[in-house]
Amino acid sequence: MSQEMVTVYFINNEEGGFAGNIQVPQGTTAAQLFESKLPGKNPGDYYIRLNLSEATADQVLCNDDRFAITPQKIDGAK
Amino acid sequence: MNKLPTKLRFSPYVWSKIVYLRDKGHTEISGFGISKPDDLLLVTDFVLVKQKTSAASISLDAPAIASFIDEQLALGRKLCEISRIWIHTHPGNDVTPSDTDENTFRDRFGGLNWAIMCIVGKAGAVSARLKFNVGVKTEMELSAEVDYSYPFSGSNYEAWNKEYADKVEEETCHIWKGNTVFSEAYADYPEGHQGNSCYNWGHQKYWNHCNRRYEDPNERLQKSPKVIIEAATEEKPTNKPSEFNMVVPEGHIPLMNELEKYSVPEAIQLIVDLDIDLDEIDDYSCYHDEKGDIVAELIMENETDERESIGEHGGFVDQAGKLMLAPSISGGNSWKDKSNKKGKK
Repeated sequence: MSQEMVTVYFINNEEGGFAGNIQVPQGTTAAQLFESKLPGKNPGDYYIRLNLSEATADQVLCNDDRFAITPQKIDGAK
Repeated sequence: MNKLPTKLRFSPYVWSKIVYLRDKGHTEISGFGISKPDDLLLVTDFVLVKQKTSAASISLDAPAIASFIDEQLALGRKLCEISRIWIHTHPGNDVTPSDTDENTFRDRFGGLNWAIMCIVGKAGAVSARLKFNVGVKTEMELSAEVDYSYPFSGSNYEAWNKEYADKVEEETCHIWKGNTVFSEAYADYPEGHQGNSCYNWGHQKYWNHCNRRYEDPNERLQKSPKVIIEAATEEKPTNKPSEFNMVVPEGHIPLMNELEKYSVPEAIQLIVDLDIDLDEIDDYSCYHDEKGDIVAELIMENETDERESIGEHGGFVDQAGKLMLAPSISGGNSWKDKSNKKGKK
C-alpha cells in the first residue's frame, strides 16, 4: 500500500538554494523535514517557518503548506 | 576551462544606490546584492533588509531576512541571485571585516555553495571576498568595480528614500566618557573629516576610549553582557568636575560643558582641533579668545605641587618666559605644562 503524500512549497536558502514544490509523506513533521533536507545541521542555527510563522518541531505538514529555512539574524560591526 | 572569478562588478545604477544609501544616514547599512541571473558576480540591484543600525554596527533579524527572501522569490528571482552577496558599509575607509563580520560570514553564509561578503567604506574603499563552501573549499579576495558597459537608468531618490525609511532603524547611541554624556548622538566622523590613519575609527583616540551604549540597558544586556557590567559599576555621570577638587580658572568653563553645546560631530571636530584625548576632556577648562576660537587649558587639582614651587604665595617666569603662579594665588593654575590648545568654532 503506497504512502499518501502531501505537497509542500519548500524554501531552503542553504547550499545551492531551492524554492519549489516537494512531496513529503503525510504526517511528516517540521523537524523530520528539516532533518531530511539538512541532515546533521542544528535547527537552532536557522529561522524555520511554516506558513510564514515560526515553526515548532512537532508541527505536522499539510498539503499546500509553505515551509522555509532561512538564516538566523545577520550581524555586522566595525 | 572556466576561469576563476576575480571581480565583483556593480552596475552604475546599483553603485549609485549603494553610495546614496550609505551616505544617507550616520550609521552602517546592510542588504543583499541582487545578481544578474546569467552573471552572478554582476550586481544589478541592492536591497535593504529591515535592520537596526548604529554608527558601527548593523543587525538584520531573522524574520526580516525571511520576508526579504519571500519578496524576492515573489518577483520570480532565484535564491542564488538574491541571498549570496552580503553587502554592508563601514564607517571611515577601513573595509577590513571585523570579528563580528567574520563570524556572520562563517555561520550564516557557510552553508551556501558560495557567498560573497562585500564591505563598502564611507570614504569609498571596497572589499569583497568570495567563499566556496563546496568541493575544494576556498576563499579569494575579489576586486570590485563599476561596470559602465552595463546599461543603466537614472537615480530614483524617492524610492531609495522610502526604502531607507522603511528598512533602516537607526539606534540612538550614547557616547559616554568620564562624566560627559552626549545624548541622542551617533558616533561618526566629524563633518568634513575624510578619515586618515590618525583619526581612523580603529585608532584608540576615537574608538577604544568611547564606550558606546544603547539607551535601553536591558536590550544592551542581551546583546553584550560585558557592557552592562561596566554600566552597573560606573558612577552616575555628573557635569561637575568636583570629584578631584578641580578649580576652574576665572573666566573659564569646563571643556566638557562647552562640548555639550554642540552636536557630536562638531564636538568631536573640536576635540580633534584641540588635540585632546577623549579621556582627558575632564582635565581641561576653556574660554573663547578674541577671535572666538576656543582655548583649552589643563585644569589642575587645587594642591601645591612641590616639585618646583618657589613659595606658596609667589610666582616665577618659566623658560619660555611665561608667568607661572602658585596655586594658592591663582586658584588652580599649575606648575605642570598648561600650554594652550586652540580649536576653531
